[in-house]
Amino acid sequence: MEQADDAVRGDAAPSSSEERITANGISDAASASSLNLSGSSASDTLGNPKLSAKPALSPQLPERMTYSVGDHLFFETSPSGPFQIRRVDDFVKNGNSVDARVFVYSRKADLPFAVQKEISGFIDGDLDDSTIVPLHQLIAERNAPSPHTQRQLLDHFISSREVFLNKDDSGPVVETLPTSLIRGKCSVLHHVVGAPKHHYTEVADTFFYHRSWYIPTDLQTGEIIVDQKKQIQYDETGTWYQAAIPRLLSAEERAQYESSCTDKATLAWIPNRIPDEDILTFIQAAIAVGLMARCVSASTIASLALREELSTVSKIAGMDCSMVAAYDLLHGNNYDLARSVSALVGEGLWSKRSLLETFDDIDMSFFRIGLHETSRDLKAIHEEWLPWRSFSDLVSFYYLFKTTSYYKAFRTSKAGAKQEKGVITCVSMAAYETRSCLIRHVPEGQVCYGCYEEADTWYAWSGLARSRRQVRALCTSCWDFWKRYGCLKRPWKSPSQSFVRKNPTPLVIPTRPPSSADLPPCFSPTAPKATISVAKQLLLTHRSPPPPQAPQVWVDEVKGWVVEKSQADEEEFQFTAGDEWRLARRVAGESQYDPKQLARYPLLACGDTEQTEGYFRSCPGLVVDFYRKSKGRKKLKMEQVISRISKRPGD
Amino acid sequence: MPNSKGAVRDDSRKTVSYFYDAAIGNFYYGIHHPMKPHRIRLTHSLILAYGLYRQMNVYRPRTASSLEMTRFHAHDYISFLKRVQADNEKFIGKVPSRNFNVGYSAEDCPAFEGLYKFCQLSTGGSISGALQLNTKMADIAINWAGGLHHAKKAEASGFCYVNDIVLAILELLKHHQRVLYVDIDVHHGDGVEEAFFTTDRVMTVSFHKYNGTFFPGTGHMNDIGVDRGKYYSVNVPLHDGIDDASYALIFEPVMEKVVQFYDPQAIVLQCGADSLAGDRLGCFNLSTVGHGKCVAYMKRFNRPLLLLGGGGYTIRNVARCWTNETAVALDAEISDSLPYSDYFEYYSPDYELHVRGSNQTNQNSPEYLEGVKHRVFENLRHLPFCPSVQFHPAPDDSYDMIDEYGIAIDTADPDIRIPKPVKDRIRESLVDILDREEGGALSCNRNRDVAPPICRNGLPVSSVRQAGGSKNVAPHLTLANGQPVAASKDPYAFD
Repeated sequence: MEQADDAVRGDAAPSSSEERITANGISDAASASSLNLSGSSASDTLGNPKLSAKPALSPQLPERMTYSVGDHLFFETSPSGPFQIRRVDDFVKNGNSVDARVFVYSRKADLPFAVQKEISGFIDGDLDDSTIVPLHQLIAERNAPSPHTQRQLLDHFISSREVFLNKDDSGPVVETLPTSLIRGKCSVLHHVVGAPKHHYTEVADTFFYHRSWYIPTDLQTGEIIVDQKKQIQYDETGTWYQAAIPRLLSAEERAQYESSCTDKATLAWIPNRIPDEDILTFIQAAIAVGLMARCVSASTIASLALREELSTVSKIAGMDCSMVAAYDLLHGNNYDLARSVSALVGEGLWSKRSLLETFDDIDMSFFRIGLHETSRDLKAIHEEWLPWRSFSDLVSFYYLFKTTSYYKAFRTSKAGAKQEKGVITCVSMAAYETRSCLIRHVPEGQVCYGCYEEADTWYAWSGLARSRRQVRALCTSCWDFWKRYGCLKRPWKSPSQSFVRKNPTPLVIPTRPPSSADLPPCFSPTAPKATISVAKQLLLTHRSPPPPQAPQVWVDEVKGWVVEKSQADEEEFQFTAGDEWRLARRVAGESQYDPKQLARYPLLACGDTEQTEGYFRSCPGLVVDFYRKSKGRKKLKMEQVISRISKRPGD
Repeated sequence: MPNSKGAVRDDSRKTVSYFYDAAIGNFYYGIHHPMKPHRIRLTHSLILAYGLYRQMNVYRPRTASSLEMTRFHAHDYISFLKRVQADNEKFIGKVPSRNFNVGYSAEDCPAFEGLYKFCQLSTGGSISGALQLNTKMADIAINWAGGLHHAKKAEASGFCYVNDIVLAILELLKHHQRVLYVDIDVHHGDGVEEAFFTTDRVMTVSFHKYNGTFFPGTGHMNDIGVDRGKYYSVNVPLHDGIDDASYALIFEPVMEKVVQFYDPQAIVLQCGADSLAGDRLGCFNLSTVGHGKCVAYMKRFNRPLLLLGGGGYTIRNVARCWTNETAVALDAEISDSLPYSDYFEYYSPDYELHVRGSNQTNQNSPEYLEGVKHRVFENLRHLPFCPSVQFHPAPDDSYDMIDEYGIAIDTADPDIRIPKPVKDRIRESLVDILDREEGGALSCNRNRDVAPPICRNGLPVSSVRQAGGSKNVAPHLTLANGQPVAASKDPYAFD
């Protein structure tokens, strides 16, 4: 064991892993230079995907990964333990390196023992070998896997994918970790209650959560909470939240409704009244007239600079407002082209002044100064720099101003300043290659502890060892599995497997939702799945009137979707027949024991003592007769029969 | 007069009404606030530049009165909205006993300048749209300024103050027994679902991201409504990064089943554009094509359709998306390269209409979607085949008449030029009886396939519909139900 420990080439210190990154072809020792920091402005990361899809990585280094805010990431906080799952909330510059402020997700194994027991009934194997399901059991069943083992394995994989968001009084718990510990991306999905969980195990690096681990700030212990889902509010009378639904109008009322609808919107355009060519011609004419009007009386354009540039003027003449005004003119003249054209030039030259024209040079320069001073706060610009303008004009102008090259330059400079300030939205670094915990020398014939296969590369695995370090060798694939999901490819053994069966007392149908206290041991809700094969499983449904608004209960076997059940309904029951009952059921004739008949009354207790005794009382020689008939010449004693039957694993 | 289209417009085309007020773009929620009403002006600018403007009935919406708003909202809430301003929010915010979630304490819903006017305009458009669908003046009504689906009866929420959708649906319910509300915003349409949680006359279907913490936190698959409204709320929770193919995989079968089971008489579609790839707040990965397909799919059902806006926080993509969807509603083909418009520079560097999906990973596995779909279908199965009092919707007059008319035309004597059923149903338009001064037609207009506008209360009556219906038809011939006569090719055949 000592040797194995020596052979471990562990590197626990985060500093050494930082060096590893720099060794990956990046010259500068400072880790900041090994990170591509893209402190991009909002428009770059949040904007058009065509922009943001621009590869941030250079083609020479295809291995580089980009991690951005909001990603779920693996962090390696200990070389031998599994990766930690975190969600990046923010990147913070810390001297030359970059730290990540993260939200914490816990695996089940990270929680206190008591809580683990509460969740699944056992603690994830961390004491010794006996807590892992022996491999020979798995190997034996590899060729002919029983549904039970498969189920157990699936449960194991599913539970390895469940994580818990850590919370305290102030919300999610926040940690700060150096970005050099990032080991890759994963995804954490919110589990919708009722959805099949096994889908999570089908995609690599996918975890799910629907419960949170709540840590009160002043206590060491915590509790698992299910996040209260927000509900649509409603009340019986519909006064507070719901709308009052109007009555459907009768035919007469409808007629009246149609004639009395006076307050309709103003019609501004009707299509297909005149051909498209005419419209286009007219709009061109209108724009031309507008342009001419502007040239004739250039003084209407307040800005000197604008006046100089005729191209700008023509642009202004063709702006949206002119177009709309031209449409309005056509509409106003009843779609009569001749009248509309004459309206264009009739009373002086027609032009629709756009807002841009009303801003003179002083206004514009004030606006620019305001833009720089207040960093785009229109409210402040309005109050401090341009109070003589109406606020809505200012808003309108601002959005037009955004199209100018001046504004673009302004934004670029601002974005640069932002980057200098250290706002980092994503980090790009070399993909993590080197591995820790390699074992150099392995004895001949060593097989992987996880899958019992031979391998070339070995890793030292000490499990979730908390009490005793016992190092085992794992192959690459098992080691990967361990790092990502925090478990081996075979399940932890649950202590309930050593469950001792006792003679059952008759099953009594509970009149109230059962709790584990008032059930006999073999009906215990925590009864292990391991004994399913030796017992008939009963799923009990309570037919007592459900409380109002209780969730509906049904099971859809095909799709594997289970509708949300109340806590009491989630318990599983199993029915283990006693020896006497088994004997009776075997030997009693169809008249007394008819499974088909019994199946029609699923809630009727079968196998109670009275019934069994009734069988024996009605035909005293029943057992012997039966065996004489079936086994022919053999003569058996009652005790022999009983011992034979009770030896058999089941019926 | 040459006809630019060259052919008769096919009758499957819908009459589309579009509501826009130029003032809507001038409202400003505040610095750094993601909601920018300017996006509606941006959309309008593209609609103008593409020439879609002249293909539909364009309306300036009226402002909704506070009386109309209180059909759903609480009186004290609306009067609070009326009074609240940026500078008095602290004082009047304290007066009411209830927390309306507006003002300095609420980051999402600031009390910005002109807040009430903004609500009036956005609501006015939606209600007018509903009115037009009710009076059959339009088959599709579009109000991109509407769709504010988070507002509650007495509470603002998620950038929404007045729930124009609920008010529009209440208007539709006057004429329609059953109304279907569909929400493709990335956020759950909680305000609308809450308003109609206990009724079977409105079915709400929402496709949204759900993880319990994503705003607004509601929308679990098991929320299906209560009382009479049980099974009439459908929630489809989705994970991050859903792409076009996956979205269609769940949207189309669910909507098909919903329409089949519920048989709505009118449909309201909230087209929140924050489900597009690259949205500032959203996390889905839809392209504008995939988003637009949802609109096309709902249009296919041939029910009165109200298209509303909603979320959408990368404004250039919002404009692209809604322009595309306006074109979808109009059945118009528009090119992928953007025409020049006032805000052309916003669309750099590619200047293309369509937003493509990114390489974001899709966290929705086909099995997950299949499971959700299965559950939704399971709930839908509980619906009585036709809910509410009536077992069959009362047959709509106009449909009935079309049917009779069709049969009569089919069986008519081909040697008679104007069959009797056609003759019977021709009525003289008022336009031809009146003199020009009284609002009659210009004689020169008879050359064209144009019906002169005759306005009652400032609005065209049946002529609007006729103009949208067919091109080569004499203007003064209209069926009693407003359908144009399409029997003859010669416009003077009836004279």
